[in-house]
Amino acid sequence: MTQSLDITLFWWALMGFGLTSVVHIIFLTANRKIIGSVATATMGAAFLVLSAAIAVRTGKIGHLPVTNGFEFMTIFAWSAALFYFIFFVLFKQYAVGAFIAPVVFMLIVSASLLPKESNAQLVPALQSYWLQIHVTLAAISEAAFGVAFAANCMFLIKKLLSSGSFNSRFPSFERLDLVSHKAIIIGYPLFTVGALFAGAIWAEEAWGTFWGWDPKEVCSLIVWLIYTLYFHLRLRGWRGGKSAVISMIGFASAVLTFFSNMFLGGLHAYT
Amino acid sequence: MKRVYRVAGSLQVGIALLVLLTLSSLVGVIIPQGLDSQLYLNQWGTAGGGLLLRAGLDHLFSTHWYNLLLALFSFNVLFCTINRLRATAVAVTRSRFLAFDQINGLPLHAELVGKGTPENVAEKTTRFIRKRYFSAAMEQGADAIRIDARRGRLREVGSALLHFSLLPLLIGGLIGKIAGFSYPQQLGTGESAPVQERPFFVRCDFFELERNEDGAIKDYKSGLTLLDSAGDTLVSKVIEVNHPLVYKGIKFYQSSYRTDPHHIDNITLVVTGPLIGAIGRKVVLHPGVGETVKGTGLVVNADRFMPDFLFDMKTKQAQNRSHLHNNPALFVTILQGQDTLFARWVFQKFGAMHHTEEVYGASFLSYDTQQGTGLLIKENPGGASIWFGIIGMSIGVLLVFWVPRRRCWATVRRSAAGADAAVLTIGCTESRDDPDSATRFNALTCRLSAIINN
Repeated sequence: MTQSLDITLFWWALMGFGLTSVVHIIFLTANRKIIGSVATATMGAAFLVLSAAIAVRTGKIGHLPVTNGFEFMTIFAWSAALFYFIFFVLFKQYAVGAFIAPVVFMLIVSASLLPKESNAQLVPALQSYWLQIHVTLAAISEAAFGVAFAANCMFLIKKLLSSGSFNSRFPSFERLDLVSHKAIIIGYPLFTVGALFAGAIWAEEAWGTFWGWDPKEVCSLIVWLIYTLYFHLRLRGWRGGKSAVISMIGFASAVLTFFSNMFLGGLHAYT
Repeated sequence: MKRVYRVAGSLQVGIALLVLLTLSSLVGVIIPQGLDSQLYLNQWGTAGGGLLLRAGLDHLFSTHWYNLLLALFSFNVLFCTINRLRATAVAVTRSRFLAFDQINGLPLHAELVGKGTPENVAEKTTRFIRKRYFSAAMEQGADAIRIDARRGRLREVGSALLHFSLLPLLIGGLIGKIAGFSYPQQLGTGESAPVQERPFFVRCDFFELERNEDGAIKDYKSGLTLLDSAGDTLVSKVIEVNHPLVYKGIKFYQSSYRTDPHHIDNITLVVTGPLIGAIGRKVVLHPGVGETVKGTGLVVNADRFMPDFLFDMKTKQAQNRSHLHNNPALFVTILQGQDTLFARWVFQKFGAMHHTEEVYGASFLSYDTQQGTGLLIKENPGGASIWFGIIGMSIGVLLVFWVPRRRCWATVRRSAAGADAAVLTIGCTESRDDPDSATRFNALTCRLSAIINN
């Protein structure tokens, strides 16, 4: 059976993200600017190929591919790659990208493990423009949390490493804290409006209730509560390591939320 | 009392409540909700399951203690916002001018010397700052001109809106729970039912179920008409999933459909006999309604249907075994005036096995099952309040996090060096999270220095 073009492009993108992750790690060890440039260029190429894969699939099924686990995870990875460039422009540091690239790679590998059939015909409940708004914003916001997670990992690794030349290649603690905080500042409003409120409005239209304590709804609420806690703890002076741990718990909850309908069932169990 | 009010609205209590809400919600996800009590006892043991049931962990989100947590959190947010309201209003509406020594006490501050009178330097400074999206106010002090420049005032408004809007959201949910209603209603085509607590009826005019080639459901829709007690039409609409009918606060959702196994329609038979011919003639009829075979005067009738026919040998009676369409059987009669020419059960699946040598015969070819619509009829008097909360919180969260906030203060006074020079002391608020604040402030003062010396 021949493979469709979108899936072929997807596999190319996966290899591209794998390659860029390796180049980024080499950059961390070698600390040569030229390697950093190659790493960013390969990331750009992989991002473009994945964008093409999403565009081809959109054309094939007639709507944004956000209706099953594979498609959501692909948009998730694409958004995380987009944030790589946003943060590269903001901070101009290859080292930050060195931690975002493996996160993108892990996300796209997770997508590759899921069934890839496309749903041209949606079940009646999903035939709504709210699907695109709700799922896309949820994916973008969770990708922002993923970027924060990458910065948090970098922060904790830097903390664990004793001072040395390798450690010095990492951005400063303050900058890593700022990268994480900025990513959450982007992600939190998108998550609140897209994942929670757009979802509630759509639920009211489709199921007749804004909020039904469905397992996935509660998991999303937990994610929101954790990041709300994160901001309030920062008002109490929490920075650095403690703040990073809360952010990491938040991202872990976001990933669990994605998988929750698979093992907890509920109204979101379409795929 | 004042102390209780202050503690109830404190950040510490808010953080504690956020932790408790997170952990209890997590418990509600880990423990499946709304199952039969026996299942909890089987899974968690008599002691553990009993404890779980007594604590209401099987319906955690409707327990009094979870609702109490939500209520306490609401009060915390309300008190905290009220406490900050005056300060927010002052911060948004009034300018605050700092004295020279206060500016020098800020973490980011600089002293610049500019050409011209203090008025001239102050004018150049405010023009420069305004170009950077700051709003700037100026006042003439006793010894210096003072400037208050800031941007991101909407952020303060956003914070108040975000916190306040949580209340209508939760109150709306509570009102809906107490004063609203929601119930399912199934209707076949042409059937009607009264709407709870309202003097009108809902009638299903038609129901359509579309399937894909693979048999999966593509779409389903219902034509609904609301009728008053006199039978006059109030409103009609075709509803689908995601497109409910709304009338006077009541919403009619397309939530499901039914397939009644005992009611069929569009029955297709082939009848044979001397007046019809050996090949027979196809007849499509509706249950209980006689259909005349053209040019013969014969009337074919189908009175009874069983989806899973079974003949009980003991009682010699026909019985239905299940709701499944395993052995669909139809009792068919062929009449000529008052005379019954044929009256027996015919079978769709195993017609040949039941072949008889009678003069008239009927073969049961096909039928449609009778479908009906499944509605959810709901009134939510708290809906408007929830909408208010959602819109308020959405605007609030975007303003709080995406509107940049910065504030600068400056004083301009005559320089001791000469009449044609003025000293500008400028200071800015520093973002505790941004290690680049100092770099940006230095860049700003460099540009400003060039401008005031021009």
